[in-house]
Amino acid sequence: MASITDVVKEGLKYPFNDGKKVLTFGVIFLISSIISLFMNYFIYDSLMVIESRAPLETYQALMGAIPPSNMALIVISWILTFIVMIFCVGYIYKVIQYGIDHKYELPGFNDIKGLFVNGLKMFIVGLAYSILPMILFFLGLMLAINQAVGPSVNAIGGIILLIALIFGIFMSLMEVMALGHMIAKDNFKAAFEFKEILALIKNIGWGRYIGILLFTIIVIMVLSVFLEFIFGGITVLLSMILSSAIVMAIVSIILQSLFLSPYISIVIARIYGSIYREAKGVEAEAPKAEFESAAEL
Amino acid sequence: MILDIYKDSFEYSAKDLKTLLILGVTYFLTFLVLPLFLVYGYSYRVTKVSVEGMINGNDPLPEFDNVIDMFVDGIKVVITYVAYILIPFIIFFLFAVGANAVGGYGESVLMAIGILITVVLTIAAYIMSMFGVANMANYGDSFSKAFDINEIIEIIKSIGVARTVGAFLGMLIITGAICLIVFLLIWFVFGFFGIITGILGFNMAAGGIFAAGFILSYFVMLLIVGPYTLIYQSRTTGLLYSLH
Repeated sequence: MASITDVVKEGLKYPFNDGKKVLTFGVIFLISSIISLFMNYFIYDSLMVIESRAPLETYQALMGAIPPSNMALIVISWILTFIVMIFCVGYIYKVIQYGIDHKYELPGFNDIKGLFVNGLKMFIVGLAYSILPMILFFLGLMLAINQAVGPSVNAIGGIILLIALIFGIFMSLMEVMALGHMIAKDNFKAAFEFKEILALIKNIGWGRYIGILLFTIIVIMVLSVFLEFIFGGITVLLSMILSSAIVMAIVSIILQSLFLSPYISIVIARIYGSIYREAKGVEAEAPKAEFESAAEL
Repeated sequence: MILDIYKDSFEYSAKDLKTLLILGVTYFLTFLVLPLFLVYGYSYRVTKVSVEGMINGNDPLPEFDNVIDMFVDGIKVVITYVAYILIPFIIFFLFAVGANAVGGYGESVLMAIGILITVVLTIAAYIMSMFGVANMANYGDSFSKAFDINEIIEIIKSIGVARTVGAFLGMLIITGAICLIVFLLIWFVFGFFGIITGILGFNMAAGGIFAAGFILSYFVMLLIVGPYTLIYQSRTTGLLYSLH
């Protein structure tokens, strides 16, 4: 039995098959980060305005103090960022699909409508999987820190918080397999066929499944710390030469979103796809083993 | 047999100065976090070659290429080491907490027992982790084989427990001796000239010679002795494992 960490090795090498597409994906990331830079600027600007008018007593006065043009720009840039991110997620969908099919090349960007629709699907699945733990978490938090309800209720809130944490981890584990299941079947409902998803995870084995995901996280963490360190060095050097803070911000955004984010998200997507393929592959072999043991009996 | 292993590893590690230097530079860059894993990934490759090789056979040093594979292997190796070394650490911590709770004479007695157990466990964990990595290399990079404790204990038993422990202790002594000898040699030469220069009355020059000696010994340790002992240890472990 080959090692499951080969999946990680393969995933890390995969983006190098077609560097141009990774960079194209990076440009999409770049657009979204530049828009969100503008959004941050407008938020900062509004905060400055509020600060200059302090003290503001009521919430209405606070909201009224923000210039309406700023408010509109913040909302518009937020919506734009969201839409661009949907495209990114749609591309991730494609990468997972190629991973499941074990294709060598990277997916293209021709099918813009498909990217958007798939991105929305992924987004809704993510939302659906995280909403229950979120509700539990906030319920627990509210019960745990509210002193008016008494210490016993606070303790119950703490327990609910713990349950929410475990439940959240469980749901995010399920989500990885659910995304693969949805994409492989090309059917939105397949993301919620819990029985089949659990059976798939069981095929790999829970220990192995959690192990491979943890291992992926460690690898990605080390890699991104290293790359951030190098990019940070380049950024600081450039900003020292040009002695300008805006250069620092822009260079760091360009490096981050052009190289780091697309590479890492493609790697993770590829690994997800490969994990799903492993789960399916084990399933195909399992009945044969059963048959053999039956023959021995 | 064990002495043959030492001799083989001795020669094997000195086969290629270029590889040693590349490894040394990688060592130098470990403050960037990622190169640390490359170093361990390379040591894993050496172990892998040795596990399949034979004593005094003409095995080549592995290439320093395919960086991504090396990186992932290195992470596996580091996780294995950390996982094994955590056990004595946790037990020591438990003893410390327990002893603190007992107090009085019992505290000292409990702590003494705790330290004894921790030392024994640390040696055991060290050997187990080294053999865990070798076992992983033997079974085609399968990560779960690094934690297959029953199988590793079986392998240690088939080699002989006393022999294994002795071989590892010997290996540690030899690597320590290599470091010490190189260090002393450099310091002896530079110290000799430095003292003579000082006696002749050139105090500034003597300081410069001492500083040069310090820098040189640092770089020799880093670029040559560090990688050398690393390859040495991996080779010895791999060959020892292949005895079973």
